[in-house]
Amino acid sequence: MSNQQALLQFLRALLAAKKSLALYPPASEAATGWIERLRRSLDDAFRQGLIFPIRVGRDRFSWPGGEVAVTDQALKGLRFEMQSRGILELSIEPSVETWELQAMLELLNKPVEQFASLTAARNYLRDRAVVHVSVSAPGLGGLPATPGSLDLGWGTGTDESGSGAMLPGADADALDLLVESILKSIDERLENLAYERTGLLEWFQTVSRGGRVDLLYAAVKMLGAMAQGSGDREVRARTTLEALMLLPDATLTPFFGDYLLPGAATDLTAFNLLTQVTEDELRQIARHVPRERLVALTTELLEYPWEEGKRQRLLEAITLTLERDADPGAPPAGPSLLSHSDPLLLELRQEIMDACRPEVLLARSADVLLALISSAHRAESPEFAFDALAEIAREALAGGQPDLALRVLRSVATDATPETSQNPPTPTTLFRGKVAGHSHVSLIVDLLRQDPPTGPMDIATEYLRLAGPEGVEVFTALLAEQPHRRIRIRMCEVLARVGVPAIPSLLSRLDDKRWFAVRNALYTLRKIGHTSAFPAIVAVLEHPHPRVRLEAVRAAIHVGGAAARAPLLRRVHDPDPSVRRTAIGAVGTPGNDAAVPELRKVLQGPGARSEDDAEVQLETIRALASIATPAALEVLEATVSRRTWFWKRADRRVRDLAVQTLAGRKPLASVSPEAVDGR
Amino acid sequence: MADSRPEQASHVFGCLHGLVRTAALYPAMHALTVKAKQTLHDALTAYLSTHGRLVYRFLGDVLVADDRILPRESLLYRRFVAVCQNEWQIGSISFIAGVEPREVDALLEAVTAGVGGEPASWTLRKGLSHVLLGPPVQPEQQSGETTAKRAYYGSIDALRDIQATVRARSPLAVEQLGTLRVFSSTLLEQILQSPALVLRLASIKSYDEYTLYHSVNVAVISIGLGLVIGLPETLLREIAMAGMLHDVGKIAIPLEILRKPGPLDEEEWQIMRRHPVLGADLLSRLPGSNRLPMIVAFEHHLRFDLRGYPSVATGWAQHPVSRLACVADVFDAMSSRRAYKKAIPNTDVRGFVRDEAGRTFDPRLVCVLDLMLGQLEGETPEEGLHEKSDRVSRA
Repeated sequence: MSNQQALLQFLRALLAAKKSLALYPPASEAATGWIERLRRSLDDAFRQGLIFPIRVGRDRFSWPGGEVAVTDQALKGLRFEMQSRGILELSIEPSVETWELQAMLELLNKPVEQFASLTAARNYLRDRAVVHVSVSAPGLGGLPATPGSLDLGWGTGTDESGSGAMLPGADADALDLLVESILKSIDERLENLAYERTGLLEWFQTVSRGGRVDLLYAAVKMLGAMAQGSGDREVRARTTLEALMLLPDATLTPFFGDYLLPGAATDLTAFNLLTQVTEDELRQIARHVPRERLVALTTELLEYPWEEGKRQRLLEAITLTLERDADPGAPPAGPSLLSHSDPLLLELRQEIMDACRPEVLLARSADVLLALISSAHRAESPEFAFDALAEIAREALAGGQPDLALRVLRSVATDATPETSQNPPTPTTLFRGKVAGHSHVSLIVDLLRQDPPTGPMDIATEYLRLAGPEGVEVFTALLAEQPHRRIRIRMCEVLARVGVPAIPSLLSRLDDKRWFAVRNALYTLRKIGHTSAFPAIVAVLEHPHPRVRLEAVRAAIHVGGAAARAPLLRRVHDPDPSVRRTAIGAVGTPGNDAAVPELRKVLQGPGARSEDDAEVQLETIRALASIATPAALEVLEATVSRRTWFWKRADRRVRDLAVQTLAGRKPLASVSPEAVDGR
Repeated sequence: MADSRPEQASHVFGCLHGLVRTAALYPAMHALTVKAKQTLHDALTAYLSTHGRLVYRFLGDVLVADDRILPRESLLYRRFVAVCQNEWQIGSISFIAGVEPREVDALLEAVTAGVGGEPASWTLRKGLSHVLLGPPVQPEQQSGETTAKRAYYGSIDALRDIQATVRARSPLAVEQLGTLRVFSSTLLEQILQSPALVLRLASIKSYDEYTLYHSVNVAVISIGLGLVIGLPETLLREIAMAGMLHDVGKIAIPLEILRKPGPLDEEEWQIMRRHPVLGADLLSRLPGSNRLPMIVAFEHHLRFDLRGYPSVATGWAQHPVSRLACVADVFDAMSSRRAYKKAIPNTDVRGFVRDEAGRTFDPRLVCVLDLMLGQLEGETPEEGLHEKSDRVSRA
């Protein structure tokens, strides 16, 4: 193994351990395990002749034996994190203790604001009595400052270490792969967690155990960063928020006060998360932080350079919250005019407060807006009411009032007149465009995460029917992005219930480059079962991916019926055994003589070389039996007569089935296997 | 032409705040600090060359520039304003034409490190003649009524601004509502401290700008009714905003109808009766999470028995806050002088309201109004009562 490889291996182990320590409490099994792995990796690296210090350069790591250009994102991140803490050289001695490595990893995981200088990093290590790990900048701490001297150090180091035994290349690759696969599995686990509120809550609780709110914040930031590139980042952010809000106050208070709010003005992830909070949640957050902190945020946000729209909305929300930060249930702060215990006043007070709950106001707003658009002066009460209704529908979906969203849609969307190219779009059409948009439809998908799914699926179905083709199109696009099988199945079921109106969107997905998107569309088309989709399904029978062809065969059978027999005949020789079997089963219908020649070819092939082949041939026997014409029976007889070798078990199974099949139709004696074998 | 002084004063204060923030991050001689000082100096020079003098006062949470509340800035710079008062004992900053760069340096020192005692003597010691600092006004010295009236007229200004925007067929901005919200909050705070202010403020009237003054009065009376009911402060804020905006639809009604000296004919009534729908439509265009003003704007003429306007579906029930605003609306309208009628005395208005209990008004709210008036009229000092004024605007 090259020296370069030794360094890379060590850096990757360092990264993995750093990441796991950021995710799990220091004393946890997972964190300890990774630190021990780092220790072993370090020992291996020493054995291979790696000599410290490692220098952090502009775009590379260098050490006394050479340098490694930083190309992948993970190492770039590590380089940046070290540089931002002023660490330009890292030195670890062979006698380093595990706890010292842990201290070093903790240092690298600390918020950069606290360790923006090398001195702070050094002090951190010194305070923990770490002596075998040191950090410095070139020319400091007596470390060699020039590349030349580094080269000398490298040579000496090799001699002193005795050039310990190098790991065989295969072992190193395996370790490398192991590290990568573990990192990948962590990513996948987090990817899945991003949609599970309960799972997230558990993880947050684990991470923040022992008051480690910094770890909690790191976890939230990581989830936010992962969500950035995805199409449903709003849904993920909401899930994260909902899980966070369930944490105990003891955790939430420092989390909001010391991390999330201070970070929101400068960190896009924290900012994005805050923009997803509802009014109630913001009020809840306000209870955890000093009023001054929220006020400070409003000032800081004014200087925030990005996301103008979101920023304004957040500012407005914070301003409102600041104004309302008194306890809503508390009586007025000022001197009261009367005794508030008067029963009449109590009744009236309760009635007003009930009528001013956000969900009640939302529903009443919808009533008012619906009255506006249906008023006699409709020509002058215009599109803004439709916009506001679309917004109400979104809030209702996000706030757990899907029935209200449906009521709005039923009232507005059902009388939409078809838009023609000559006429400008009507407000109703624009409304449908909004409720069919990504922001609305992704909330419908979010509904499908609930268990049991029956109610949400009914709601989603009606919503999509009312939202029209654009909504179905967006929903279908989200189906292609959906990572969870359980949700995918529910989404397919919803589209199937939508029925014929969903077919155009599904057909457009048949050209998708992603095979799984095509398969999902085919699955749903099969569930819908409308013949108009048949020609497009037939075209997909030639798809390069076997799972798509298999689903296409199933869909063609279901949708095309007898018309599917001819195109399916081409698939009885498909390279994939599952497709072959399904196609053969499909063409095996009574009297379908046209399929017999192709089925004969299947049986006359090179024989069953595998279990899969055997299953295909067995299916062929069954198909021929179903066809049951003289020509089909003739093929069966020929199969019975075919010579088989006793060690070819699969061939014998095929012949046995043919024998049994024929036996049901002819006298047993004439086709007994013994008779055939005896020939 | 609109007075641009508040905007300019806001800009100057923004420059001052920017300088303070920059100075907290960079040393005094850093290029950015020097630039921030220069920016403040330029802004001050530009303002003072036109207006001669600029005075900022810090009154608790409120920032006042040349006797005008700066609502948005009060919120934005709340922390800075609080630090000036509580830590540095500075309650006002006055600028007089001729401010020198060294005086800007001294001011920066004062608002970042304090003046170490009496601001006036510090100003003298530093030899400042164009920048004067004053001590904070002690709470007991602050006149609640003065602050409330500032907020009252500020609300009128804000509504006038909204009116101009709507009449120009421009979209309303969230910020315009934010300004109104700050004023209504200040009104509420003052009324909470002294409920007697309800009647004193509600007695301010304007013949020419009836709708604007009426809107603020409805907000004030609604706060009073809410106080009697014992509603929490958070809700009172929303009710105040709803009161401010309940008649916003009248902005779209032609002025000749609004000011017609005499009863309206049927066609004019038809137009007039559309103002709830127009108001709700206008408010529906505004982003924001609170929808109470829209509901009240739509329903405030519905009447308790739903025989009012606009017509609504069977089974509709008037929102309780709309009922409350309805009482406040009628009370203020009847007690105001209009082109076609004289102001009706409070006692007569109360009689009318009692007669309409169960028809136009929720009977419980009629009781609440009675209780409020009885209590407040008993409490209100004679000299403050019925300060009816046809002032078009404040001096």
